[in-house]
Amino acid sequence: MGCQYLDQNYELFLLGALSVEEDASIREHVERSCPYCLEQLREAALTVYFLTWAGRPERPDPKQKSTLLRRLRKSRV
Amino acid sequence: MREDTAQELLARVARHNEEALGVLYDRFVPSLLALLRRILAERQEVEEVLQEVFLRLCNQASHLSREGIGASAWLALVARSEAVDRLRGRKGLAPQARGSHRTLRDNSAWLPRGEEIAMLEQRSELLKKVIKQLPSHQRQALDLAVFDGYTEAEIAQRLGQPLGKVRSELRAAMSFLRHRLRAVMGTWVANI
Repeated sequence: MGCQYLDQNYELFLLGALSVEEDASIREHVERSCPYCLEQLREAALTVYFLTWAGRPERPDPKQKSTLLRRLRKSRV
Repeated sequence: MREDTAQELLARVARHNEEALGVLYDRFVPSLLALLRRILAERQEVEEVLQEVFLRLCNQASHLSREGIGASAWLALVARSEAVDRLRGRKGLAPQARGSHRTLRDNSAWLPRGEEIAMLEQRSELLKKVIKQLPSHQRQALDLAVFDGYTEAEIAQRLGQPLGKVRSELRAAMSFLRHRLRAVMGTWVANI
C-alpha cells in the first residue's frame, strides 16, 4: 500500500496529537525507514518547528548557563 | 568577522568545546524560553527542561553533527516534547502515543538539516505572518495541540466539538501552513 493515505498526519504525529492507531501507523513506517514517510516527516518537522516560535524571546538567567556547564564538567569526570 | 553557524558550533560541542556550547546556549535559549514558558508556567520547571535538553544535546552532538541535523529545530522539538510530557503528567493525563517522542530519541533520519533550518529562519518574519492568516478556530485547535500537548480527541472534548470537525480543522490548518511554507521558501527544501 502506498503511504499517501498518511499525508495529512505527519505534523500531528510529531505533535503527539494522533490516536494510538494512527500514531503507530506512521511509527511503523519510520522504523522501517520508509523513504516517502521520512521525507514527508522532514517536511512536517519544518512546519512544526516554525509553529514552536512562540512569542517574544526571553532573556536567560546567567546562573543557569553556569549550572549547565558545571553539570556537564561533572558528568565528564 | 563571520559568526559561526549552528552546525560549526555543534561540531565543536561534539569535541567537548565548552565555549561553543556557551554560544549555542546564548543563541537559542531566548526563543526556547519563550516556547517553554508558553507550555509550562513555572520558571523552575522551564529551567529544568532547558538543562536536560542541553545535556542531551551534548550527549548526542557527535551524532547530530555527523548527520548535519539542524540544532535549533532539534532543540525546539525535543524541548517541546519534554515540556509537554511534564505538563500532561501534572494534569493527570495519560501519556500520548508519543510516537514522535520515541522517534526523536531513536531515529534522526527525518530531522531537517542545518541548511534547511537556516533557510527557514531567514524567512521567519514572513512565516510568522502566515500563522496569523489562519482562521481563529483553526489557530485555537492548533495551539491546544502545540502548546498544551492535547490529542485530537482531547481537543474535541475541550472545545465541545465533534472529533471529526476537530480533525478536519487541524488537517486544514496543517495543509495551509505546509503549502504556505513551500511558497515562502521559494522552492521545496527537499530539493536542496
